[in-house]
Amino acid sequence: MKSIALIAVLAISFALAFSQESGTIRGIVRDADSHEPLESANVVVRGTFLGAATDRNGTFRISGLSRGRYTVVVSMVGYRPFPLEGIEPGVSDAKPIEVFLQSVPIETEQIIVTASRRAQDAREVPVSMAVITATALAARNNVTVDDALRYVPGVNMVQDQVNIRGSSGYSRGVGSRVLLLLDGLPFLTGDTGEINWETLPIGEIERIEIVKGAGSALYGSSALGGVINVLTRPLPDKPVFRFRMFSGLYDNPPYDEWRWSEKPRFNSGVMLGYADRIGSLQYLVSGGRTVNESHKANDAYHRWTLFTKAKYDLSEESSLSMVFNMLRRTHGNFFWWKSLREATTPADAQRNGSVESTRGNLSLGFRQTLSENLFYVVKGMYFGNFWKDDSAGHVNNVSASHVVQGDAQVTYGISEGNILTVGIAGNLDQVESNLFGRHKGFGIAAYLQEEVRLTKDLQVTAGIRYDVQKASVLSSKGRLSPKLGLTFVISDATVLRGSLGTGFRYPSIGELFISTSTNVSQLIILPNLNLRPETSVTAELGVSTRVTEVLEIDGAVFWNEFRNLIEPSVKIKSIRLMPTDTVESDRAVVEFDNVVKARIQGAEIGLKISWWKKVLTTDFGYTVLWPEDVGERAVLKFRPRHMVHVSAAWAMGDLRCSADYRFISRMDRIDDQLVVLGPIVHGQFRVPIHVVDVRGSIALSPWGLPLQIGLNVNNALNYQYVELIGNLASPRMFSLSIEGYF
Amino acid sequence: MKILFLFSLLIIFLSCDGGLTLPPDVQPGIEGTITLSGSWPPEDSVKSLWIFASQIFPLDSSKVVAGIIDGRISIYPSVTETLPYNVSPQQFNMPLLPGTYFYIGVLQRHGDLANLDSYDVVGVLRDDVNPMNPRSISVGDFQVISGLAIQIDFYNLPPQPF
Repeated sequence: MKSIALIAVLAISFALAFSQESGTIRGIVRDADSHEPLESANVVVRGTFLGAATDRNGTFRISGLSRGRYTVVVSMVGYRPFPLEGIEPGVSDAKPIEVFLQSVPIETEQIIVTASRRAQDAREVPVSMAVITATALAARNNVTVDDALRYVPGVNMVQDQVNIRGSSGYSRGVGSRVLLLLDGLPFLTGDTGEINWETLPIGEIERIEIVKGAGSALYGSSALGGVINVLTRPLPDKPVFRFRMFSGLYDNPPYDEWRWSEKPRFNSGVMLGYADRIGSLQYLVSGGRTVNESHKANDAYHRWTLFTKAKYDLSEESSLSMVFNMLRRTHGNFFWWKSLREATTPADAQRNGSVESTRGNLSLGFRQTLSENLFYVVKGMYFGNFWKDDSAGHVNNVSASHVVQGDAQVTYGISEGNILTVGIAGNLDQVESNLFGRHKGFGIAAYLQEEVRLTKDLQVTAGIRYDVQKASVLSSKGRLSPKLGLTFVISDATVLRGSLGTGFRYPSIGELFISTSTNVSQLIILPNLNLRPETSVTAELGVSTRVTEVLEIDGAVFWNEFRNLIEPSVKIKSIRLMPTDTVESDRAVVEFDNVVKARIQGAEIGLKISWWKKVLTTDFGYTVLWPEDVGERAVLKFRPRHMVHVSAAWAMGDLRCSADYRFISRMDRIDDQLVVLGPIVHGQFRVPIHVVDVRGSIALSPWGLPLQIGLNVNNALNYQYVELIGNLASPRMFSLSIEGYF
Repeated sequence: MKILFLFSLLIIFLSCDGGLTLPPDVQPGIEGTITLSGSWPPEDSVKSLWIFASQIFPLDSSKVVAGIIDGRISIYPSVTETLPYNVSPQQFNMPLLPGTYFYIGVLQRHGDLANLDSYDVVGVLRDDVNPMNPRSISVGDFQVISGLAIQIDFYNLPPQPF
């Protein structure tokens, strides 16, 4: 710890000493064919951490440069990166440079921020990644982030639990094995350590980055199988009013026995947002309302959302930012069907249940650029989750959890191609619940990463993080997480990557301390204070190559080893059910335990092809997995062996049409205890998943209206399937959306 | 272009099978008759009388609890209920998960629930060809296997599993 602090102090002192004179680079970025200004192009000064994104007028401004000549690289998705060499910074009113970007047939994300906690060229990232853009979210009319993740190669959802290359399986609503970040900070609930997708502000997302491998060396607990970083939109410089409305209609189920309602069922929502700038303060306020009547009985939800973001520029080198995000929701309790014959009706015990929840976060951030080679970021977040479940007017369970966390990070460019990142992080948790008891916890961590360019073409990344976590009265536990990665540029078109990463997850307070007989399943769940952290090691070798201007291929082979995975196991134990009981009796009880030792090996291939001068683009992804429960010498539960994702997009002027197809092979093995003890009648029935979505949209800008109208048909072939046993997935849905900004 | 066309056709073909379908309104299981040989023991010695169906065979004491928990051993009518005393012959209709059951019979509990010494197998569904062996039954989805006959004898027990 002392050495890390010393490095940081030395780095800051060094930078301050050499940051006295500063110059500015200004410019405008345009499309080479149309000469239209390009918004959201990335402008980076090579060899420094300085850069900017273009505004709606295509202009950018980068300050804080010392004297000298620089190479400025301008890049944007769908365009060829353009390096400008020998640029000299001038005074603030110097003549702007003009850059014309040439479009390319294949769109590839060029800047990634999650892999190294800083903006970096995607070709330098040593692990497989995927990016979902705001455009893709809007085009698919995704209402929650988990909807969007279903289209990512190598990712599948088991209801609301995300699996990256088979990492998670299904852990019954506790303990995510994928770490979710919101703007770089962990965003898991304090009680069960789970992801709540609905709390994420879907309308205000700039992009979602998905790291397909263990990431605990930078991010700590829960990053066993991967990291998902949800990045909110940057704030605009000029006033913008945005709105989005959608309404969708569920198609009738194919069988009369599944038709539980005479009325048509809708899923509708509206979102309004306004952003402006007052002096150095930029702000955004948005709110939304969604009502999903659902295709299943007692599964409807009503949701209110509020999102505000503000940024205050203290100087050209420093800024303060704030995010406040809140969700209020009422949701019916549909846990599983009554039977496959009544697949849209919940089991009798769930018929009148519902959950009310209020969730929200307040985040603060401070960023200062001390010199072109040195910046630091300090971030903090409060994340609160409050819920209660109600069964026919009787409140059964309540839970309130509070998480406060902070992270301070310094990134220093020691020399060209040698970047050091150091940081500390901490968290305080508090849970009050009749299910989990009243507990406090805390954690503290320090991390360090160095990226070194050994030769012009070979870059090595090494990192390590040490975490200490303490939950309630239990003794603290420490964990060291190293990682190593490399990228090797074989040619302009081909990059080889390799990585070895480690992951771990501390058991959540829910898994450690839960003690109840739940109202729904009637199971007795006992606490287990002896749970140890789950761990993982992942290794990957991949290659990305542009075969021709119209064909890109990315391939990877990977190997994941998991230890001490926590699973609920059912046992017969002699217990006193009530405190007043004088004798013990034999009962079937559930305990969370470190039981599973697993190995997942696999391969993934992705193809991007552009047809007829970018009129049609197609993406193809195939993932094959060998998920093995090493202890039982059997296939791991809730993991598919094959996943195929295909997308095709056709664009002709302002009209766009696209289609997606995803195939998830039938899961070989499920948790039989859910069927036997649930009891989920007909829970064993599951099929391979084949889902086709089609959509079209038209921009009305040629008619002077800043609007876009979209028509979506999700599950167009009305395929009937389950992601989680006993839960019929959404049938065909027709939806219309209107989006605009002024 | 041909590849795209063929691939689109393949996707539509695969997706058109419709997926999950409505199952017939039948609960899979077994049904038949239990007949007594000899006489009933004193009523207080028959604390529970259950039909059991086990996918595990041979069975030993270490496999019983795990088998019941993971569903490979089923008990009818339930752990807290019992077949009627002093009724012979009696019909049964036992719902089961689809699968192959290698050992089906009738179990008497005469002592504590938690003590394995409190149980006796008092009748077994016997193989027609070799009556010394239990008969295995395969239950398909939505299939009921009928006409099973189990003879029980409290004073002349078949071979015990443990």
